[in-house]
Amino acid sequence: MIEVQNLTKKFGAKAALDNVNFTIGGGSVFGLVGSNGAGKSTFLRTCAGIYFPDGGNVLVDGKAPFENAEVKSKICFIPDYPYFLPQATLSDMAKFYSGIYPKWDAARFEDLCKLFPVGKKERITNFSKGMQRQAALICAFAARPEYLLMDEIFDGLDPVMRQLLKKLICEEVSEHNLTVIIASHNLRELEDLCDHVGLFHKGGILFEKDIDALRLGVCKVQAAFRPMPERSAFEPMEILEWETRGSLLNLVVRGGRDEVLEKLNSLNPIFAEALPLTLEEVFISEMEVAGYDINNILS
Amino acid sequence: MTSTTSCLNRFSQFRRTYFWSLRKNIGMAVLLALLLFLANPLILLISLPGEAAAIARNTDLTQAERTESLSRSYTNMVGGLLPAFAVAIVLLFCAILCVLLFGYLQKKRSVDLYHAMPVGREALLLGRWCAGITVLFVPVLLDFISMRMIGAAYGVSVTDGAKSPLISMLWVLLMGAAAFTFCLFMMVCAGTTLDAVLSALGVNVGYPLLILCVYTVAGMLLPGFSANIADHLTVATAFAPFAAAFVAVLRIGSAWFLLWWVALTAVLLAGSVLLYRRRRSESAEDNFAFPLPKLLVRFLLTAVGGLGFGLVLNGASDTAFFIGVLCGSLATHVIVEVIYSRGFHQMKKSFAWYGVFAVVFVAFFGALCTGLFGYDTRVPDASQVESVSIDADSYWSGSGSQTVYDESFGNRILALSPTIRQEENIKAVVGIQQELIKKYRARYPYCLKTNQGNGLTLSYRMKDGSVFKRTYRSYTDQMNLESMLKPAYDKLNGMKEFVESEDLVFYLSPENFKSIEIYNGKSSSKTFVPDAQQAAQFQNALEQDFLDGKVNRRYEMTQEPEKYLDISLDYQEKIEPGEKMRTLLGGYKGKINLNGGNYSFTDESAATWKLLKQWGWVE
Repeated sequence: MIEVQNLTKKFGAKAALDNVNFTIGGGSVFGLVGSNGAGKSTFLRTCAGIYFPDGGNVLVDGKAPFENAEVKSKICFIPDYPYFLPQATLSDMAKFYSGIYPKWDAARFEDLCKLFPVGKKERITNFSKGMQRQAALICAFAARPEYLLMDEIFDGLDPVMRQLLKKLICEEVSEHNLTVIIASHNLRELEDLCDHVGLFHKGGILFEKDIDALRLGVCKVQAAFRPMPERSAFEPMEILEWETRGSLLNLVVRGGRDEVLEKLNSLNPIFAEALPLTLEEVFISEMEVAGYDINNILS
Repeated sequence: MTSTTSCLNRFSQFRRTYFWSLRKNIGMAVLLALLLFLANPLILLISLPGEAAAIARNTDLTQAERTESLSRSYTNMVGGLLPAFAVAIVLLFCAILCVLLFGYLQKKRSVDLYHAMPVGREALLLGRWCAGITVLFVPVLLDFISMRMIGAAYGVSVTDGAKSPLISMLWVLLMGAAAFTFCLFMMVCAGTTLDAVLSALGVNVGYPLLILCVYTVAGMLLPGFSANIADHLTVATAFAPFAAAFVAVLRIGSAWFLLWWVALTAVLLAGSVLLYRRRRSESAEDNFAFPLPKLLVRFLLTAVGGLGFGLVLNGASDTAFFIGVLCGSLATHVIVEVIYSRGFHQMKKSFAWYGVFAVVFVAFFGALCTGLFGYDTRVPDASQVESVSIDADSYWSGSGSQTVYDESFGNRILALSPTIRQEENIKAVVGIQQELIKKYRARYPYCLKTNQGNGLTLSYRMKDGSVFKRTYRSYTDQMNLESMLKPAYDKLNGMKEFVESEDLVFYLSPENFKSIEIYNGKSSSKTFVPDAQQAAQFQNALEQDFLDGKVNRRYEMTQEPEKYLDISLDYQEKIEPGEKMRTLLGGYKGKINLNGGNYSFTDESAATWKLLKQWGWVE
């Protein structure tokens, strides 16, 4: 479990993380989303023990990771631009990691090398961006960490590799109780994978929720009325978004699907139906409610 | 239990880091070994056989003498090769290895990898430092061993031929470790490799230059201060390991210098570890994680620029010196700031640090002008003085360059300077110094005067072993030179003890003279070989002329060639020193060689001139 307690991290006078509090449960996949400069990468680096917090704490299984080799041996961090030793091949990196991570699994490394189409004996610097990420993933999974922190991992991976990565993560979570934190702007990828999400903005966390609860708690409906009732008629519902086009009404409403449809049908629409809501739409709605200008937040 | 496990873990992390780093840099060790082999053993392999053959051909030597001669040649060769090549190559590798091993600190991406690893910073730094030291030390040791083996193959005695090279090698190792640790300290403090390299370079160049400038200005301002930087090389390189490495190998045997560098290396290493523990990972690719080197280098170079340009302009007037200091220091400050900040955006803020330099300069100059807190008037207690060595520049004395070497002409044992030991004479010398102080004090507060280089140095050896030294230099013009220093020198010259200790002729036996070369401007020089009786008479005459003050010590030429006589003495080789000479050399037991026996006369009534004329050696 990762507990974040009043975490503050500053770069000069600017606070990249400002008094952040939340908890990430063990064996979960946690998605970090937010605008550019929201503090996602800073949070991951603090979690990985790279940065020392200026205030508060990140506790991994109850212990701070900074300068704590015991805690760090449970964590693998894949940054947005993974670093490899100069002129190293994947085999060289495996040798390097095997001497450092106590649970290094050589058999697992060989298996992963077969799964990902990258050459073990080729220089990693000659790899494409996506292949370098695959190399980093191979090393990270073979290190058998308990916590896997990944920053923008989907960037550069082709759709097949993305699916493979998701599959691997799911296997590791279910079989080895791996805890995964992924920082990404790609909400569609996170939607399929994460069970929890946290939204960072300007160094703070706007909310942290179970993704199903988030989806079930907000509902998008489309209905047609002739004539269109006054807006006050819809007041019993907590409307997050309101859009009318002639007799067609689009609503994003807080509440369960059946509950919302029941309230809508009581106003005698020509028709009313619930539409699937993407994670991106949920976030946009939530952030609008929170008073944030969407154009500045989701880039 | 937790503590033991933690320690074991830390040691395990250190061990893993050490061996990994060593494996990755083994190629550098091989390259260093190869370069050192090309520089030292290969040259030895080429040179030593020729030397050995030449010694073997000399049938005058016994087997023991041949072995001794070869050992001496070997020691000289190795003593010359090590400082020249090994130090330069090892220092170059110190810088390269430091960048290779600690360059990861300067890149955000590599910091992400290394600082996320389950390895503590101490273990990471020390493991890599030890790997670097191993890569530096093993090739140097192999180099020394291979040179010893080559020496042994040619029959060089282990005891005679190994001591000096061994000490040289140990110095190379110590200074290599110091330079490597110094570079590490800069790497930990800096945020980019360029800033680390610039800072290391800045300190190694800036510090010795600053000391040179400070000594020069102090020598020009402060009566009694010796500005001879050659006497203060250890101070001038005390924070510049790259420069000190050369001083160390050339000045073997300085215990304080050795202790200083051992201590400084340890402090730099401990400082690097402490700072690395506090270093923010995010400072990679910033200018500096800790701004100390920037502040230090900017101050050093600003001061060097100011004082240096001030000294360049000083010839014009005293005001020009201050204009030079202002312009030079400002220009240097701006240049250094622009380089460090990659532009002008922090320039305004940086001028607060220029203010620090300005305050320090005013304090420094003010202290020197007013006698440096009584430095100018201080004289030793005559009752506590054991002896006084007096070093007069060649303007006053023609025998200042007389030197005594060991049997092989390899090591200088003594550079002769007149020494006063008798109590009443010591009191007289202190009195002479007090008179000089009065003369200089008449111009108080002191101002800048061009240093002509002519002066009088009094080195008091105190009974407690310490040395009290003052150098008095003349002011600008010849008139001042005469009025300030000549009376002092005339008084010294009136002391028999001073004159008798002034020249080697008073320490030699007649059989030590080999030949006398005479030139008096009328004809080309002629060389004569005196017999035993002539040599004794010649020595007596020369001694008498010294006591009568008839030797022209200042080599003043006359317009009339017939009124000028120049004598050059050639001494026997490998002289067995007599009792008086042995005492002068502090009990030295070996044979000696001498250098420097030139005498000038402009007075025909001199006993030597008369004697040579009597023998018909002079027309």
